[in-house]
Amino acid sequence: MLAALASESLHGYGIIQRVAELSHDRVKLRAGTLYPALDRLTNDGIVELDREEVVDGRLRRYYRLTDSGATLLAADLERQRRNADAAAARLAARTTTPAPARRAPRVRPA
Amino acid sequence: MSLEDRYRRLLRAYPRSYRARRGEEMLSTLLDSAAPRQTHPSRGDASDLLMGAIRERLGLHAVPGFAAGLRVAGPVCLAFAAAFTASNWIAGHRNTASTVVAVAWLLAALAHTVGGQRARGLTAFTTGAAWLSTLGVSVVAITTPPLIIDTDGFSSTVHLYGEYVVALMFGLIAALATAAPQTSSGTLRTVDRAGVAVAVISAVAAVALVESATYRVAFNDLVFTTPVWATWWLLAPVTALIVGVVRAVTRRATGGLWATGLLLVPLPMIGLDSFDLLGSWHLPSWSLPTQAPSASLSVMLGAVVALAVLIGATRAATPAPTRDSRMGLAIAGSVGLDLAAALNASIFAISTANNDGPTMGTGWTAPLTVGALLVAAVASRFLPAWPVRGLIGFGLVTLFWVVLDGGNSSLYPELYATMVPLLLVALVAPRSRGASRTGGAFIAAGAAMALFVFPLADGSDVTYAHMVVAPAIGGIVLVPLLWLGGVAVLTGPPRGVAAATVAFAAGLFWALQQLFTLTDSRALAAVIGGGIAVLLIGRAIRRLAAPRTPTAPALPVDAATS
Repeated sequence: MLAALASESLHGYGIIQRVAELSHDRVKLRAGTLYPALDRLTNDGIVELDREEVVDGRLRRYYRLTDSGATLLAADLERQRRNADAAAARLAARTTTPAPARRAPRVRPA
Repeated sequence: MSLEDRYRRLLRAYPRSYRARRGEEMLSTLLDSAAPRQTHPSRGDASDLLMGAIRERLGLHAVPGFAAGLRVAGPVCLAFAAAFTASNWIAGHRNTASTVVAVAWLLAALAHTVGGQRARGLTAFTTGAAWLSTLGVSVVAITTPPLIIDTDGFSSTVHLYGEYVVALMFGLIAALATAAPQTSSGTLRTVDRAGVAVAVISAVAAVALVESATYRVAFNDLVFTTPVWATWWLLAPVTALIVGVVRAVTRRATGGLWATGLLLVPLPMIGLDSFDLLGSWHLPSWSLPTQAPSASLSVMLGAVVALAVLIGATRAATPAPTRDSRMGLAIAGSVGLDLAAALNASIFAISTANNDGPTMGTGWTAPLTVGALLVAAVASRFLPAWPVRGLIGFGLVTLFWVVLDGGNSSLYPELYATMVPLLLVALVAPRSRGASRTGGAFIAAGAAMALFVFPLADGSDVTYAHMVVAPAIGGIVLVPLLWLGGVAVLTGPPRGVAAATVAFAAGLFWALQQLFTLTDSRALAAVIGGGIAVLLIGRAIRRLAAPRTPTAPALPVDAATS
């Protein structure tokens, strides 16, 4: 979810779409799951309300990542990158069989 | 009715305040994600919303990993319930009621195993139906014992409680789990479906083996067949299943630990049932099955005391408690206050109906306690914290007075003993409007209990009503409720340790209680052994469930990824 909100502010359906996109359709968020998560992220000061819009009589609230949320996301990405690097280094050190092509680190949808 | 109306109707499951804050926004998200010509909410969305509403109402939405834990624990609990009721039937306690219950749970297990993800609705329906039939049968079994007679001519209530309390508790988790968001892991689905089948089959086979070896306990002229060993044998495959499932699926520690907590906290209840069936365990009062309910209350008491200690320790260790643990504590406090008030009021109602004033102390102290606690429970919804705390404190003081004065109050020692820790938790817990709102349901449950027991106590044998009905209903209704509240408290940081400690303390407490009434060293050894086993299993699962990557501040995204 954090990754979904990293570059721009999104409304509920936008987040669902972006998360599906980022996870290659592995993670399908639903409203009953999305909003409690948003509640928690908002309470923890990681995400904040950006603006409200009414489109076709429907209320849309847009959320964006706060600065502390961005720091948290960066720290987590850094951690995952280091893990991936460490694993790749181990794999490269394997001498008996040729190392398979390095795959891009899988980023957990956040 | 348009799609929008249908979604609006579903959203009504959420508390009013939540709808006011989020309702419109959720509705537009739901409508945005609907397919162009969709007329009905998808089943996935519907169950996701209903589960979300339940979590919101219970205040559990903020608990990391709960849904994941429920998902792991659910099938195991389904296997428990089915295996218990089936083994009970095979062991010879055959009558209409036990047949209905056993068949209902076996059908639910079958629907889960055969239907899997495709037949979630069917699994949810059969599980819910099985739970309701168990509840119905246990109420009938308690209130009208002559209606249910075993093939051996002995009233079934004597044996059946234990099974039913256990089946109700595990069944509740299984039923809740059917509403949890489902996993996308194919491996998990296979493992858990196979696991349910293996657990049920092995339990049934174990009982059949015991039966063919004609293991019987003779007591006076009556001969009882007993599934007692089967009950213990069942633990092996099921524990293996727990460890296997947790290992197979837990990527994140919280989900696995929640599963552990959910599964291990009621574990002492299984032992309770076995001992209850082993005639020698409580020979002196065999004709009155008071041990099972009073032992369940002791388990509850043990859990509350352990939780109170844990809360104290957590508070001392972390100067600023997290929002989650504060919320959990607020729920426990609110539930505790409501339960204590309801328990106290129902005892008072029964005593008044029976005109046995001395049971409740000398005249005026009892109504004072009942009044103070009821007012505190109701006032906690709108008054600030301090007047409510004052009322609780006053209730506690007069409660001691009642016990000291009571003379006869030894009729309800475990009930009074249960109220004290409940009230202590309520006294220290922070207040939360959301948490106390859910408490209304518990008050209603308590009132229903009093109303239900009242006419019965008035019209039937007084001793029977005192010794059997009140504690039994307490055991069946209150234990699962309190235990759910207790699980909510376990959101403090060291969850695995907390869950194992609670289970261990509950077992130990039960042992101590039995020690005071009956000195049976075998039982004590078994209970302490069981407690240690639970502790070790908890530790093992915690290790298995530990994150495989080096620790770092985790992102709070459980709800999103689970």
